[in-house]
Amino acid sequence: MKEVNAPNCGLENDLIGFLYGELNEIEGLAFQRHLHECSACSKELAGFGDVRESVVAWRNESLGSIGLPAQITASSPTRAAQGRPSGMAALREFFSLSPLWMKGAVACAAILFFLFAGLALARLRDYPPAVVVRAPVAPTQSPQELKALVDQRVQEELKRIQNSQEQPSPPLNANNSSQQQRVKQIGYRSNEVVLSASSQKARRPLSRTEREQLAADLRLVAAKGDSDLDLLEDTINQ
Amino acid sequence: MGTATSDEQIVERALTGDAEAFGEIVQRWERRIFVLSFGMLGREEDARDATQETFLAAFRNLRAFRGEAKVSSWLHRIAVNQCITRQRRAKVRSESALETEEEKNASSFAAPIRYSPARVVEGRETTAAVRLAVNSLPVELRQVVVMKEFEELTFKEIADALDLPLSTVKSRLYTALKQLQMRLQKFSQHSA
Repeated sequence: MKEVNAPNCGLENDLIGFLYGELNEIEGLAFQRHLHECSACSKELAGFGDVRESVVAWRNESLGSIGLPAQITASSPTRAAQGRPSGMAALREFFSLSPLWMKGAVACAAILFFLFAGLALARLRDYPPAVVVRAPVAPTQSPQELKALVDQRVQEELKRIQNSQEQPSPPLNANNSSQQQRVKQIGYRSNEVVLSASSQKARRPLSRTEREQLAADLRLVAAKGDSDLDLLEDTINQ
Repeated sequence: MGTATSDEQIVERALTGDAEAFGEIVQRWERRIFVLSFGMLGREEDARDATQETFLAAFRNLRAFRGEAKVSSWLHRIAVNQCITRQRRAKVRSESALETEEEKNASSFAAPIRYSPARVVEGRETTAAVRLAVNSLPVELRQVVVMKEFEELTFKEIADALDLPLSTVKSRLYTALKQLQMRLQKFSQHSA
């Protein structure tokens, strides 16, 4: 290490800049290299460091013991001007006061947050737009009520059909009322078919063949297998 | 969320007759100016008075502020001038902080300081020596040291405030630290 007297280096300003950390990266590295070579500058830097320490100690002791003017309460002029600090200002101050590790942790957390948020958004974009499926509405009526309602509707429909049938259709035979009674006992579907057929036919008088066919359909005319039953009935009646 | 208004905007408001605007400037800069004055003068009472005078002078000369420099630089210059004027007056009236009995003894580091090690902690003695060493610096060196160490301004801010080239600020600081180092070395030699 060569002995160079600091003032002869011509690097006083760099030394001061290095001491207060106000050199840029390149200047700082260059001066650091110089410090390895120049013991005078190294010694001077160490001596100035001690002076600074003493001055800062005096400053802290003096200003710490002094009650600052009563109206001087804010820690910074900007803050004083703003009255109550805004949320952002408070956040900024918090970060400026927080240690390096905390800043690092917050930065990492923020990066992770944005990463996950980005991934979530990307996933949402990949999916087709959601289709709104309405849940089936729960029936408000019980099965019994529904059955009663259907029966009622059936009865109403039957009455309506009967009314429309009664007016234009000519009387088929004496057993017409009992025939209607039987029709009522048949299920709704078959009733509907039969009655709709009869109502269609009621629009014109039935021919003889049709009447016979209808009577056979309605079992008014004894079929072959029915003859025994008739005899039995007769026997009982007798 | 409110946005911070610049000093220059506040001064404009004050110039247009806003009575409260200058109060905002005082609130913003009072502490800084007090710290600067304290570093320059070394006594709390003097620093308070100099701070008050600084803002009074600023208010009187508000119309002279043309916005060419920053309000902070303008205030710093006024404060430094106030401190220099105050010290000159104090010298004339022999009321300077250096005129007190203790400081008379301490001002010359060749003479032993009357702090007894038995009575005063060594650290306090050292800080007293630092204060005297700083106070004994020429004004142009002292103001740079105070602005750097007390106000923690950057070289650029100091250069702006004092209207000096950056290199001059650095060389003044170098000279100031060199002188302080020598004086403190003397002090430690005598106290040893």
